[in-house]
Amino acid sequence: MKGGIDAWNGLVSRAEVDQGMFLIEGDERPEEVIALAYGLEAATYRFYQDLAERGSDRDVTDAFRRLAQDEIRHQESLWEKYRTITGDGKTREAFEAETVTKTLENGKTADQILAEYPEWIDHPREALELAMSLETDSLDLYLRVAQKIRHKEAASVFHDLAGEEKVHLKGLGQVLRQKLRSL
Amino acid sequence: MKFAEFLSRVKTMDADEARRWLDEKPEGSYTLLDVREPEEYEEGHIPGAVLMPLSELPDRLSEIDPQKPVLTY
Repeated sequence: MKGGIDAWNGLVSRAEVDQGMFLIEGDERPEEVIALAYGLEAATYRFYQDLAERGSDRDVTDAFRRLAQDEIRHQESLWEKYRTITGDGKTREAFEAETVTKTLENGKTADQILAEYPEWIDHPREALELAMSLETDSLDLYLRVAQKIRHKEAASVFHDLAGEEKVHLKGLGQVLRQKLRSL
Repeated sequence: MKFAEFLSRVKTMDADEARRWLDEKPEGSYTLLDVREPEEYEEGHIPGAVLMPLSELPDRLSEIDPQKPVLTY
């Protein structure tokens, strides 16, 4: 690419080289990858839900609430995929108990993210930038994890989720642009 | 196009073309390669880029899928 990163006019991730990569070895089976993705989505759902309840700006809390709802939708679809692939009679509760993680989709914990953005709560712009940063890092992690996974079907789980993150980023960008115009 | 580019089948894109190219491609159908050093990568990289510093490239070529197009920066 001509001009390298200095010429790049899109979002960038500042994730460290191995950030979140401890989550996989590379030889996971599809059902293991689905369980991992489910846990990441669940942790991110809790994070967005928490932000939606604590935020002070209506547009921003609405955006966080929509993102939280999307994470639930992703979890539903992952659960369906898990059942189709394994065909076992495991209950949703038993499955969820195995997928609990504190790590969010971007490979960090909620505490780590909030420590980086202490001022988000009273500032809509910072809150939206926090969400965009999280989604950018999530996109980055999902694509890099997919690259590392050797099983094709398993990798496609993360490619699909990466596509969803791109949609989130576009939506957040629209809210941010509207907000900047009104500030 | 320069004569050397014609011979090596390498196409150069500017940032706008690269962004459109990435937006149009299905995830998993290409390799996005960052050939800078780790410190530069951590200052900011295109989401999904795999770090393979130029200094390591000759020893790590087998990690790149030859069936997929590679976008590098």
